[in-house]
Amino acid sequence: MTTATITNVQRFSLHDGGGIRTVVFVKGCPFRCPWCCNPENLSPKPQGVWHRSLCIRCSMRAGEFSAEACPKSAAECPTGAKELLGIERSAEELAEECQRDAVFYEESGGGVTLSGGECLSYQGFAEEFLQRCKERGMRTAIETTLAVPLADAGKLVACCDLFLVDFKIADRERSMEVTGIDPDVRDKNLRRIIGLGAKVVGRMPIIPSFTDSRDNVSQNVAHLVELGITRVDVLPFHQLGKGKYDAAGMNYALKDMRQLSVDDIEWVIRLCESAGLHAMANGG
Amino acid sequence: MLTTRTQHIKDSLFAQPRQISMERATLFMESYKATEGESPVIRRAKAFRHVLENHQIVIDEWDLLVGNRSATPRAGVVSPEMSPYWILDELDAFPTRPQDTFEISEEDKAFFRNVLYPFWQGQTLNDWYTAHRGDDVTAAEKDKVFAVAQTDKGQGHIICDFAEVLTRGIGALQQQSADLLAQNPTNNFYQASCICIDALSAYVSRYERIVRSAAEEEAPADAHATIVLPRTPERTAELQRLANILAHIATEPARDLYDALQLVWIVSVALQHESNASSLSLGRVDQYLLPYYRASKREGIPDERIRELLQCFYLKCNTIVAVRSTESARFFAGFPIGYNLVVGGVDASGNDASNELSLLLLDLQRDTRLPQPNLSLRIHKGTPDKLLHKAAEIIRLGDGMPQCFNDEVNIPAFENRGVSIEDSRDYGVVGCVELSIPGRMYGLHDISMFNMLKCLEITMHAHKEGFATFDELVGATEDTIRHYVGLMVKGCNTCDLAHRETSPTPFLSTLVHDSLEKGEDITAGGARYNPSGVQGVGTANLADSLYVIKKVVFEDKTITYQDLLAVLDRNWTGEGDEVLRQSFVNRYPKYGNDVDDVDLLGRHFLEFYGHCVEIYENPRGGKFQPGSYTVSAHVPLGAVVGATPDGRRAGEQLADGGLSPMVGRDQHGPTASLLSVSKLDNFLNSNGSLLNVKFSPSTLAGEDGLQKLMAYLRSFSKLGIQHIQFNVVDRKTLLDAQAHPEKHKNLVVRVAGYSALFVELSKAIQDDIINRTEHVL
Repeated sequence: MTTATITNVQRFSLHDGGGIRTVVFVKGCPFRCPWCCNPENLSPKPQGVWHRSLCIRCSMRAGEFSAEACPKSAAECPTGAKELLGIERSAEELAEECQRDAVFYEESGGGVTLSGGECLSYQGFAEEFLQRCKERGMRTAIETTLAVPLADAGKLVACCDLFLVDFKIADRERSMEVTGIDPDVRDKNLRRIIGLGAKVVGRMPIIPSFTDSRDNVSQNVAHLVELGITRVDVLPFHQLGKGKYDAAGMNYALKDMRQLSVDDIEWVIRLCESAGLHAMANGG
Repeated sequence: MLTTRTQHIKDSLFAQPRQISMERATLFMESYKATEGESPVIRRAKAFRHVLENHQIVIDEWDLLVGNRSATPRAGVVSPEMSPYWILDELDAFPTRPQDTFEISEEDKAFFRNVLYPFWQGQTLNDWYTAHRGDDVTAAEKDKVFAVAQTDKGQGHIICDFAEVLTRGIGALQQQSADLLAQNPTNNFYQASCICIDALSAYVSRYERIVRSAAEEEAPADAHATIVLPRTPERTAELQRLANILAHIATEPARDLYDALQLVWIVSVALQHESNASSLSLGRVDQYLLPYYRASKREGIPDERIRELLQCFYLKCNTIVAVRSTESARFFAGFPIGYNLVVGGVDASGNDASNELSLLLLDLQRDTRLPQPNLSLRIHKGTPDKLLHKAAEIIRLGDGMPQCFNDEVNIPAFENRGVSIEDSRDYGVVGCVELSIPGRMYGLHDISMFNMLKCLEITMHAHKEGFATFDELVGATEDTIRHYVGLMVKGCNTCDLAHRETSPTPFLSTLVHDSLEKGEDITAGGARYNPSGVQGVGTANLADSLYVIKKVVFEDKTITYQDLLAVLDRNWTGEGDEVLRQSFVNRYPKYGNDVDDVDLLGRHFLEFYGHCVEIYENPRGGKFQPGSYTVSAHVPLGAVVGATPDGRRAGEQLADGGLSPMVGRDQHGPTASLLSVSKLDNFLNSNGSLLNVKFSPSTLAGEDGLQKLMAYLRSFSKLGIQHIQFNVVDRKTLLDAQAHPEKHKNLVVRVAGYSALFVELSKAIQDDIINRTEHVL
């Protein structure tokens, strides 16, 4: 039985692969994108967080207000202000949980999306989980950088109906330097899975000063076209992850950066469309 | 969009404060003085006729339809013949009371105190009820487990057979009643029916005369008419046309949409003059108006004219409000008059019945943006995508309409109550969510609510010694429920009889099968179907509370029963109680999160309640049936329950809706909450049930959002839930969520690349969402 450390099973997710979906978040990522909106999924280990706004100071040392000033464990916390993120769960158990929303997937064309972290860091788990979901009649997707070595691309393609693959910093050197992602590894993997018949949607986060230059976008678009990918989701930078950094006590380099609106990325959509891509803001 | 005309009409609805009106009360009194000694059904018929002959008729400058219940729109028409007592108590408070205020003149107050009150005192519906209900019911009502409704006002909650009036015409009904009376000359009901139906025809003619005099720019011969004379040749022509229509429909069947809407509205107004009740509802309007709509299209009436006419009709539905006592207004806050209008669903053979008018009737909400008519959509597996798409668009406007009903459950639910399959397939909705068969059912659908959570509180206090096992606690709570259900039934049946004895409704009965066939008023059992509907409330709180007790007292034994009782009795105010309360709220699963252990407790109790109820009979030969809805009653019903183990503080509201999870306790999103509700035996609640779901407008943004809402609705139908309605959340709610995150834990918002729980976002992002939401709306 394969297991992974899971932070969240998010039901009624609307923008990660089409229809109404359940997204399973795996903990652990080898990369470090400065704009990461799921920082709780960077470390592979279970991790304590503290939601300041939920705390009622029931056990706080006088004059202090911090996670450390509270002697209670997450299990003892009455409000859920202290929370332990990351529970080891089996592929089978998760697939069973995901199936609860089967009726919504059927009616909406939705399904299950495995996300993270980098879920392909746990390829055996990913394959088993997706396989079990498919056996239960659910459509499957994964959200990945695809920039990790693939042990068995054939097996992965067989159990995954849709790959949501990141196109972030196009320049290899800068990408390796800023995020650790090697686009060449990704492209090699992409060619393999596309050759095996995989359906791929590109995902382009537009992050000011990192990925938002016309040059970077053009390179990504050219790449998508060259690889034969026809659909791309354009994701404007948002600050939804900010509270998570606070809760986890992590430093967030982009905390003061302005969010982008759909209007701000209209030019990206147009650029994609002019290259013949079907582009969508955010994602269906 | 509204036209110049309909915008003027809409504005006029709110141009002046709502007034208390004594007109109907005065006319009823005049008539009753003249009919001393006659049978109640005849007295009511004559009083009805007296109102139709003498109340103030108003013809304004704009409207294409006539028919007004009161001289000023949205007046509070009091019914001292039902109960003068609460009115007397509240005379001075009408303008200032917390909910549903009305202006009242000093003159009217004095008239009420000196004339109306002394006349009605001692001979009303309410007097009959209080004299006959029995000491045990009186005592039980003080325990606040249930409150019998309609003991001080008309019964309502019914749909008459509009199709019959439209297709046969008033004249044919007059003839039928007259023939039946000739065959049964001593039957009081037939006498009353003839008086009423003749009075209706005369009432239509009275409007005709007044409209015609306006068209001819003459002062009306009628002493009780106010008219605005036409100022343009176009208005003159409109009034002439209207007068001709009225002349026709006074006896003849409708020919086109104009005839039909005018006839439906005048009948609706007349029904109000008779009953002065909430929820004399409209039924399946897209079915019975369709032939007339198509006739108007064939006549070549332009779409914009048809739309304007329908706008006029929708606006008319907002001219009537119900005045309730302060207590009642807490349960039904904000004037829900219940012009429920149903579209969609299946036909008598089970095939999709929707049509082009169904779409148009939904789309009109874009124009009027008012609470009435209360739009309802019947969904079944064959509902066309086009109709569902239209419904999704209108839901997204944020007005909470249409609410959606599920044929896949509601039809079998009726069959389970012995309703024929054809009649079951023709169900409509009265008031809020109560299911009823149009023109064939007098269902006392809103006769009482039953507070199941209060039963737990009573049980726990009656057993201070505690219980050896959790099952014993469950059994004792069941005993309490069973006991109070018996008393509630007794109270409801007394109220039922009070209406029969003091307040028959012969006009309404004439339009409900099989009253004419049987020769009996509906209050005496004349209708084909005669249930009484009582709502089980508090499912979520009861399940949540019992689950916590099960865990902490019986399994983990972290607190004793007596200590828990003490904590509840002091309302969490003791040392360390708040920590306990927080842990009860947060550390134990709650109904609404798709967790079987707790959801099935909810199922057990709502089902138990239903089976308790359904064994009882009422005086009309029908049976009791359960429902589960609260309207706004979860607030007052919560106010009478002390602290409960689900973490509720004393007096806090119960879960809203009826089927809904407790506010803020469903944290696994709208799919999980729907699955929890689907575990209830929803087929049992044939009286109707209510589920509220909230979405932020951005969740439903774009065509993609509409598609997802449609998928959600299809899933709802497949899951076998009776009803669902949506709050598409506004700025105000979001601000409240920011200030009180604990109350809004389940609020799903959409900002950027994914959806998130609002309360988990930082303040800055929340601010952002709040601002964008304002933009979206």
